[in-house]
Amino acid sequence: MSELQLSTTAGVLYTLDRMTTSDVELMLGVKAGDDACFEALLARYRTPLVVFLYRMVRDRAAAEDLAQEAFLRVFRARASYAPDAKFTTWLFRIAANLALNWLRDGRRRAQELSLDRAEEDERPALDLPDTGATIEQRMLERERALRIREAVAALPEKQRAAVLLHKYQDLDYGEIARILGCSQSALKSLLFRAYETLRVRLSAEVAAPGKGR
Amino acid sequence: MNCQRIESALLAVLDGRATAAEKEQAAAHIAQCADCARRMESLRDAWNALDHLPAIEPSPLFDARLRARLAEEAVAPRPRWFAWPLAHLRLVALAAGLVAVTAVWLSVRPAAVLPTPAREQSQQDFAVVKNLPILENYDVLSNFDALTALPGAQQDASQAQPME
Repeated sequence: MSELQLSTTAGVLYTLDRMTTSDVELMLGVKAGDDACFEALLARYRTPLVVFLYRMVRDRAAAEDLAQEAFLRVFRARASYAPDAKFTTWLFRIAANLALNWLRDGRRRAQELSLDRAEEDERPALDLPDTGATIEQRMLERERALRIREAVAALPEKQRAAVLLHKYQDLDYGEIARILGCSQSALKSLLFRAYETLRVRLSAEVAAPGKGR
Repeated sequence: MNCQRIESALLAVLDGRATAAEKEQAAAHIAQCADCARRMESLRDAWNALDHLPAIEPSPLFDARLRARLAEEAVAPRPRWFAWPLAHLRLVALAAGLVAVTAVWLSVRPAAVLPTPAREQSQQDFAVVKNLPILENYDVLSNFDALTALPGAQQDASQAQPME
């Protein structure tokens, strides 16, 4: 397991295991000019961030571009970083704002012109792990995954962001509320409306023969 | 507790973050509300279905592209507030020209006078006052007996007779 040395503002040197170093410690390392700390943060959050953004914008290239932009912004802001908030709250707030802005500006309209082509491009991404199921079962699983993706994608943008952060990231209500810039009660209302919509849209899905697989 | 007020507790039960009090509230409500019991069951089904939402892995070039962008940024200094105007001098000149033309036009155009009831009344009063001398002269001339005694006036009167 790799190790790195962290230099605090007081000039004290710590040797830390990179895998167990907290986000704040890593970010303080980035602030001190240690590129290895940035690499460690990148390794830790690259996949969750790209997946979150992909589920938000439904475009692989755009999701990767926005994730890179989020990491760039973190790197740019390293000098003024103060550990007064959880790193993931800050990172996902940047990412959520980037995604919401991307969806709101005109780029999405241009994207929709080639939606059919994009759908075809994205289908290979839905390949499911080989669990020994028959071809028919795998096709059913694939169709089910597509319908779930459509149901999530059809949610209003802010509800979609709330659900993705609530369901898939280990964030509490307060953190999600800070990311989306709303109160906790507004967030709970937003989440409940979103899950109600999903409940109705997915009711046929969960009642299907493939349920529980 | 009514169905709407129990939503927060149902949400907490759904994501497993419910406190003991919220669990108790939700259980008590569900026990006496068949609609909410069904709703909770289908909410849980939808929540579980979301486990099957497809994900992707970042492409192998993700890190390389990010490093390239970081390196690019290290070479080219970050744009400052005046960088955009400098890069778009034509647009800035056009905007400045439009502002100047608008300012000149605003300064030379006659001030718009909007009719108001008070202003219209005062204009009518002023017209009456302005015509007063004419009205007075007409009054004097129409009742001036000496003028009717003049020969021309009598001839005019005799010529005017057949017309009647």
